[in-house]
Amino acid sequence: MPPVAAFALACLLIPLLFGGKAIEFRDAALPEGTSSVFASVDGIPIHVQMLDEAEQGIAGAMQRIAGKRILWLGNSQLHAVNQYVEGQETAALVLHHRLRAQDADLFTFSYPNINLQECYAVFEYLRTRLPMDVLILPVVYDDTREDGVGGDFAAIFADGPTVSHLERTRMGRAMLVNRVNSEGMDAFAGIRRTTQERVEKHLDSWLAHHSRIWELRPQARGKLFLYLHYLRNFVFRITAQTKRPMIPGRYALNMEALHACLSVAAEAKIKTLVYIVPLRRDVAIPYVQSEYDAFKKDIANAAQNHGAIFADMEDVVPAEFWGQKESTTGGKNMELDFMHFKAEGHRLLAEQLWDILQRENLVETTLTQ
Amino acid sequence: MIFNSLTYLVFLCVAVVLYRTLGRRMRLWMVFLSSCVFYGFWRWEFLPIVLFSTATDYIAALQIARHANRRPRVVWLCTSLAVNLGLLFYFKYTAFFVENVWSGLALLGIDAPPFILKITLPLGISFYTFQTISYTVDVYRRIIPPEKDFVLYAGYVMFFPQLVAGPILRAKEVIGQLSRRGPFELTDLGAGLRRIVYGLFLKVFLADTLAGIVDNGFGMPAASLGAWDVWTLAFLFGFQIYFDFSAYSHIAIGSARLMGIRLIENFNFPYMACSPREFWQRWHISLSSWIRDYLYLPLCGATVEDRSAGGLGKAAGTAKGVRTTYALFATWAIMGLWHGANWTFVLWGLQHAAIIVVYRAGAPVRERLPQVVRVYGGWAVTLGFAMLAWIAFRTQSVSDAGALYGRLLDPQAYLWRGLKEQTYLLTALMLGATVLCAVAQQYALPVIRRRRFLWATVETAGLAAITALVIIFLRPINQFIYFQF
Repeated sequence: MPPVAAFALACLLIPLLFGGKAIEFRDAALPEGTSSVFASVDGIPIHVQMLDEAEQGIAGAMQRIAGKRILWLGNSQLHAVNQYVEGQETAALVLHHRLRAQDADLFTFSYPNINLQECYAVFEYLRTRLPMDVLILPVVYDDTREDGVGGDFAAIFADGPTVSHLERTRMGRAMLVNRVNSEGMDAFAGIRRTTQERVEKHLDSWLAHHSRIWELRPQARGKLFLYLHYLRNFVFRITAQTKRPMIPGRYALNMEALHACLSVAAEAKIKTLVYIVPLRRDVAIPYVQSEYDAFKKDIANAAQNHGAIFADMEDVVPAEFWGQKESTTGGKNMELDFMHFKAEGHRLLAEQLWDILQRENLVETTLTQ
Repeated sequence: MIFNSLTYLVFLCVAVVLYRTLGRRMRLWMVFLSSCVFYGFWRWEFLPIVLFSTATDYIAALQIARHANRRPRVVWLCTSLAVNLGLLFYFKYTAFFVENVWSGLALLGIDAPPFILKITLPLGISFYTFQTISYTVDVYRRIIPPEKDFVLYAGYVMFFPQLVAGPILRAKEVIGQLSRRGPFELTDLGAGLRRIVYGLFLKVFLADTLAGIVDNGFGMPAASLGAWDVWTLAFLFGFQIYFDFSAYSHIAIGSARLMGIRLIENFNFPYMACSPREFWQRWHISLSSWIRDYLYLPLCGATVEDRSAGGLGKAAGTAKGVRTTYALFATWAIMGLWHGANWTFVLWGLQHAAIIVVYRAGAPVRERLPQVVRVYGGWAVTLGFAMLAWIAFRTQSVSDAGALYGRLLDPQAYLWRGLKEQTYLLTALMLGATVLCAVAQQYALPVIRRRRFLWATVETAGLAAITALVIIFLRPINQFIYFQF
């Protein structure tokens, strides 16, 4: 009978297609050739990617004596190292060491493709926990193409103090209205608070322990979407160098979030350093030049309007320190990586930031506990 | 209990085995009790409401049949309607009603104190209420005799595959099948399994995947969306709700079929309709047939039908005159409100009424057009309209809907965009796939079916692919959209 044969065939297909090497989907934006490196000092994380990890990092940061506390909030450029070799340091760690020598402290939060709306929400969340003097905010053109606050940040909207902060800005209120978007990441969301929830969780956990196929499901879901992504790139010949046009609607929302973030920081007497992230310049950039120029101008204007420090770090990392990543179509050829660089690039970025922090007197020390 | 879960699959296996093995009396008790368990797995505290509604109509129907005089019959019919509609009104519309009264008072300058009312809507109340009303009205109209066996009758009203989101069944279509179990046939098993797998595929892979994109898009402020984005979101939500709701119907029909019970079809490629009338012969057929027989035709003063198939369109054509236009708008406003206590649903319903009126008025012009223009043009216009109407259905308020419709009227908005390129691509793929499936169903599959080996191979491969996707994606991550109605 076809349905029975189909079921048997499906059970064979799943391990065959999705049972290979597991992919760490937490690093979805970081393909082969790029490694995630989250630094710790004395076993305490100083650089995290998730909100729950932030709690431990903040607790550690609060134990360290510091004249100034600095939060660095950005995308995967901060934690991804191309062609990483064990023992190399990210910009976050290099800068942390530099700052510690001056009795200042740096805590870094970076998340792949984080957009400015998410940056604003995370900033509001972290500032209720970590008293800070300086915010370092890298702005990435690519990430202005993203929209909304992702499910990994759902905890932000369940946190009373953060919610009351968000309610003070138009962007924050809009985020709160749409917070439902951030829920539903839980696989049992459809039966929450019902009798069925308990039974379903029990059955699910029993199957996950007794069936290889059931255990493979999260991997299979992730891999399937990855294959579809490769397929789209293959069909439309999308590569790392394909121009990404601006999406005006999303761009406008992200700019509004940036203004909200800078305004809130200024109000809270948190000095902000906004910088345009390093960009690979040895080949044509994957953006429409006029749009990219307008973007840089908008960021500079926003910084100026809110009394923030603006830095264009586009040329900080020279061509030789940029690396390669795996093909966007899933092929064997490596492609140029426009977002992440090698450890040497990290060092240069940290040094440049250190210079700016010093120049702007953002790390002058007045020791406080 | 929701269908897209392991719990339901286990529950269904047990129910089917018991249904196939127990004797008549025990089997009927099993259907009734298992339906109670099915419902109670969502919220046990709302089970008495279903039972109360069921019992009311059981008694009312017996009393109506017992009396020959019109007066007591009308009294019992009104009692049944008052109880059913009263429950529906209380749970579904009280907050909406109060909110509107308060807004009205505010408009008159009366500053009423804030009134906060939180009433949980019992799952499926709109569906089982309509089902019990149809039963009592049919007994009143002497179309069917009342069912004396309460367990059998309750089994019909509460039959778990269709209890919370239809199809809305007529008593004469189901009670007989429940009363006399047909012989076990392998074809029932195969057909039932196919429908369940197909329904789960539509829900867990397609509808739930689209849900995130649709929620995100509708969550964006209207000003950040371009006109093409509004079209795209309307189409995407149209596909989401179609996959979601038709998935429920597939699983309901498949689950019943495993027990040898045949339920009526609720969908028939609605987005292939070539006219608004045809759309309602293909979309949520059991509801539009219900509306036809218990609301629209009585309002028109026309002869009612008695079957949960056919939809609204065809029968609506039998009634003529100005009265039908009033009836049409009243019916569609009520149809909209049935979906939810919000003016957005009324707006959605009235849009459908308006397009039907326009379609009727355009008949003389249409008839002069070549056949090919009539068919393909009709399809494009109906599809575009049906999709745009979903905007009112999906938004949270009339002003939100107005803001999105406003973008469509702004020429500048056609040069603006707020969605990612892949969203447009996905929409085009969905549209292409839907058309392809409808065409394949009509032309290719009958040809392939004639070659048995080829058909077995194609079907097994196709089913294996969607079964694999169902296994991978089966999670109760989202309820069915129609659960909120």
